[in-house]
Amino acid sequence: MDALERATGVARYAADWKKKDMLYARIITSTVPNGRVVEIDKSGASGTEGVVDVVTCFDDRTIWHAGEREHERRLFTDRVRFVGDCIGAVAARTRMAAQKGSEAVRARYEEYQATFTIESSLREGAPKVWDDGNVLKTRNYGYGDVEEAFGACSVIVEGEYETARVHNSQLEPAASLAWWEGDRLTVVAATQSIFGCRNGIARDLGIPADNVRVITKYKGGGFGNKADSMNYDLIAAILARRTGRPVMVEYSRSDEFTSVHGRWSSRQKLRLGCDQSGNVLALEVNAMCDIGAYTRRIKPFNFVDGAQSYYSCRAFRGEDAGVYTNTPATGHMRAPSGPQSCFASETIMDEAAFRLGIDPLQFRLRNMVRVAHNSETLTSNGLEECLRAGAEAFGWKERRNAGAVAAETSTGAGVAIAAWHSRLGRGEAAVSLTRDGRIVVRTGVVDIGTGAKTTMAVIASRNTGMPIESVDVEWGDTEGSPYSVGESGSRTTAFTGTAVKAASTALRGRILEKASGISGIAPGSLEIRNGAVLNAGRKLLAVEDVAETLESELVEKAATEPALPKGTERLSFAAHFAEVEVDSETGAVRVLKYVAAHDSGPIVNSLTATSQVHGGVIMGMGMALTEQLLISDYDGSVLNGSFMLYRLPNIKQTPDIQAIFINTDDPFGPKSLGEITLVPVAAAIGNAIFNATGVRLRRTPFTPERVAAGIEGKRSESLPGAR
Amino acid sequence: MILSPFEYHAPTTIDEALRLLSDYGDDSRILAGGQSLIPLLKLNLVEVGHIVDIKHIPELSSIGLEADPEGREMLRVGALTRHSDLERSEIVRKAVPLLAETAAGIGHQMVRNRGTIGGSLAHSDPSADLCTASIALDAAINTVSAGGKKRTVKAGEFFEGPLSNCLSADELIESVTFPSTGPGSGHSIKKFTLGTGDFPIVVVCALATVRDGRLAAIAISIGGVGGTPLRLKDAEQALLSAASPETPDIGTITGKAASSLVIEDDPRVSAPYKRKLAATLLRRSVAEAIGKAGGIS
Repeated sequence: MDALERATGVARYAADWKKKDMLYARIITSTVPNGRVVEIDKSGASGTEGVVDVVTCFDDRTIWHAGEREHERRLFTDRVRFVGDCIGAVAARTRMAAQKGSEAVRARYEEYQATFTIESSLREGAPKVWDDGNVLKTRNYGYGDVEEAFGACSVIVEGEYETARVHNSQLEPAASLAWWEGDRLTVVAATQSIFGCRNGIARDLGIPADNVRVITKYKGGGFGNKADSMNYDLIAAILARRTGRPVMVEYSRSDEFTSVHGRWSSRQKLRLGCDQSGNVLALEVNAMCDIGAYTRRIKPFNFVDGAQSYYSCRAFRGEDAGVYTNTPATGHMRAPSGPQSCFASETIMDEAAFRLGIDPLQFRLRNMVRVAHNSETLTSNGLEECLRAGAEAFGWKERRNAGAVAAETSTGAGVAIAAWHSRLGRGEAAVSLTRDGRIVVRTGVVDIGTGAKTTMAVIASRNTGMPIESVDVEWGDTEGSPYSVGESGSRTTAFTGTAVKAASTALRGRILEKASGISGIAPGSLEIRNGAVLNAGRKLLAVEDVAETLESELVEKAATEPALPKGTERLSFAAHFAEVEVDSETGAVRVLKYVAAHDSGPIVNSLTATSQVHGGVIMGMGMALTEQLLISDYDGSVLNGSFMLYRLPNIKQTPDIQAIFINTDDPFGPKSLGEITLVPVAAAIGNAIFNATGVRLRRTPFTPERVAAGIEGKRSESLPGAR
Repeated sequence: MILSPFEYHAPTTIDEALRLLSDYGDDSRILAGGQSLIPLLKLNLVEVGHIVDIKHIPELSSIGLEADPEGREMLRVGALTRHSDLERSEIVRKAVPLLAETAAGIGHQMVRNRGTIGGSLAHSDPSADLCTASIALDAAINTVSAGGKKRTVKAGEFFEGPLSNCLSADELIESVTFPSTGPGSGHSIKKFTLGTGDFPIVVVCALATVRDGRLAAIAISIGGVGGTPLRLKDAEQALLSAASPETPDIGTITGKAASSLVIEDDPRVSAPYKRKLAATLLRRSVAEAIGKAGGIS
C-alpha cells in the first residue's frame, strides 16, 4: 500500500516534520558508570550561541515510568547508573548549537564503585546498582516432577550456553517533536504504539490523556524499542513547555546504541534427560541475564522463555533472574526472551540427538509437542508439517554432512524448532464506504515495517468484496483513530485484523441492504465481488452506484476481543533449516541456504508474511554470526556503538531464504508471525556448524575467531570422526 | 552526528587547488571521492575550516599507458580515477590485472563509484586494499605542490604510519604509475573481513612471475598488521632461493613470515588469531599467484 511513498521519500517520518520556530534538543549524559551528580555547571551551554534552554536533574524531577520495571526511573537522574544515563538536555536553534551546548555542560559527580558483569554484580559486597540489590527474580515455571523424570533417564546431557547482548538496530533512529497549544500537547513520535505513547506521556507528565495527541504516520522499524512513552518523547514535551516553542529531540546512531535499550544477554545452564530410545523425559533451564542498569517496564514475564513449549517432555523446570549491571538499559527486542531460550534448548537437543546417534530431524519429530502442551490443549499445531515440508524443500538428507572434510572448507546442515505466543486480544476498527465509492479503514495501528497497512487493506478488501485499489487506510493519530494496543508482540493481524474483518463484514451487509433497497432483490440473494453487486452471478449494479445514493459515509465500527477457552493454548510454530560452509582455517561461516517453515495459521498476505520471515532470519543471522554489543570492562560504556563496528549482516552475506507457510486452520484465524521468525535461527546455524566441523558452539555470536579456535581444539584432540 | 561548519572550495585547476591548500594549510583538507573524509567529518573525528573539492579538475582523471626511460610499459592513472574505473578499464585489466581486481573488491558498488585511488593512498589506512596492492606492484606516486613543484615517491616509502604519509599539507597527488605486469605473471589478492564490503582485518597481495617452470620473481605485501602495509622481502627471497626452486615449501615460508610479523591486539580480533589469518592468507595468496603464473613444474 505504501511502498511507493516510502521509496520515493514522500512518506513523512517523525524526524521529517518541521514546525515554525522549532528548536532542536540534545541529551546530556553521565560520564561515570555509578554515582551521584553533585553539581552541574550550565554556564558553558547557556553561553553557547543558539542555546535557548538547559534542563537538568536539578530542575525537573519527572519520573519515566516505562523506563524501568521494578524501580522508579527519573527522566533526568542525579543518581546515575551507567555511562550515558540522561542527566539533562539542551534545546537550541540549530542541531549544531544543541550538540555544542550539551558538550559544554560540566557535571561533577560523587563516584561509586561499579559493576559491569553478572559475576561482579553477584559477588558478595558487590557495588549496588539499586539500593535493594542487583538481582531481579522472576517466577519459576514448569510442570511435572523433574527429579523423578531425570531418575528415569538413561542419557543426561548438560551444558552452559551464552547469548550476547544485541541491539534492535532499527533503521529509523529515535525522534520526537512536541508542541503545546495551551494545556494541550501534540507529539509527533516515532512510536510503535500511539495509544501506549499517549497514555505513558499523560501519566508521566500528570496530565489527562485526552490532552495529549500522538501522531505517527510512518515508522522506520522498532523491533520493540519504541513501545510506550519513551524518554525522548517526554524530553521534547518538557523542553517545549519550558521554552514555549516546538522542540525536536533526535538521537544519533551512537545515542541509539547507548541510550535506547537492546536485548539482554543470557547465561544458561541446561540439563536434558532422555530414555535409551531417545524420548525426552526432562528438561531443566537455569538462566541469569545481564539486564543492564534498567530493564524497561514490561509485563512481568521471564527473561528466558519458550523452551518449555516445543517438546512433549514429562517434566520441565525453568528458573531465571535478571542481574543489574552499570551498563546501558535492556528491554524489548523482537521476541524478547525467545531466541536466547531457543538457542540453548535447541542446541542441547542437538547434542542429545548426537549422543544417541539419532538424526536431529528424526529426534525432533519424535519429541516435538503434539496435541497438548503441559496440561493445555493447543488450538492448532502445524509443527510436524513444518518439519516435514521444511526438510523436503531444504533437501535435508542430501545436505547433511556424513563426515567429509575438505582441505579449506566444509559444509553441513542443521535444524531447530520454535514456538511463540499467539495471543488473542482487543482490536478496534472502523470501516466505511464513502460517497465516492471508496472503502476507508480506520485503525490505531502504526506500520512499523511489517506491511500492516497492506494487511489491513487486504482484510477489508476480502470481507467487503471491494478491490484493494478502492481501499484506503487511515491511521496513526490518537485523534480520529480507533484504539489499538500497539504494534508489538506479533499481534497486529490477530488483534486489529479481527476487528477489521468484523467491521468489513458488517459493512458488506449494510451495502447489500442498500443495494437491496435499490434493486428490490432480497439481500440474501446478493453478493459483492470486485466492487460489483451480483445476483446469481449477474452484475446488478456497482457499489459506487450504491455509494452515490448515500447521504453520508456509511460507517461500521467493531471492537473485538476474542478469548481462548480455558485449558487451551495458542502457539505459532516454526522449523528452520540452515546449510553453512565453514572455512576450516579462518573459521569464517557462510550461510549457503536457508529454509524457514512456519505455522502461523492462515496467512493473510503471503508477500508481507514472506518479508517478515526474510527479515527475521537475517536478524537471527546477525545474532548468530556477527552482532554483539561490546561493553567496556573499564567503565561499562558501549565500545562499538556504530554500524561500522556493530556488524549487521548485509545483503551479500544473506543466502537464498525460502519461506514456507503451513496454513493450519486455527479456529481463531491468523496466528503470530513477526517475532518467531528470528527465534530458532542461531540454533539452526550453530547446529549446522557442528554438522560441518564437529565443533559445538555454545556461545553467540559464532565469530570466525571462536569457530577457528573450536576447529583448532578439535584438531588437537584428534578425535577421528567426531561429528 | 552533526558536521561542523566548513567553507567549501571547488577549484577547477591544479594551480588553484594548490593555492588554496597553501593558503589554508592545516585548516584545509582535500575532498576527492569523499569515502574517507566524509565519514571522518560525520564522526567528528576531523574538524576543518576549508574543504578543497578537487573533482572539478579534469587533468586528474585519466588512464593511459606510457614507457619509462628504460622502455618498460607503465600504466598511469590520475589521482581522481574511481575504483569502479580501475575495475572496468580494459587498459588496467590488461596491464595490471591485480590493480583491477583489487579495485573490484573494495567496499560496495556505491563506494567504488565514488572512491578514488589518490584519495585511498592519501588517506593511508594501513589495511586499505589499494595501499597494500600499491606496495606489491611497486607503484610510484607522483605529486605536485605549491609553485608547481613535482616529485615521485615509491609506494614502499610513501606510507609513514596509520593515516599518515610523506605528503605535506600543500601537496596533491597528481597520478600513480604502475609497471605493467607482463606475460608469465600471476597475481592474487586475499583478504579477511568481518562483513562483506568491510575494511579488511588482514589483506595480502602477491604477484609472481614464472619462467621455464621456475619462480623468477615474486612480490608479497600485507596490510592490516602494522602501522603501514608491509612488503615481505624475506619471504620473497626465501621463495626465490628455496633449496629446490621447483618446489619451494610455500606453507613453511609464508608461515615463517607470518610468525615474524609484529602484531598488536585489534579491538575486533585477538593478535594470535590475526597472525593465523595472516599465515592462512599469505599461503593461499602466494600459492594462487604462482598457480596463475603457470605454476612451477
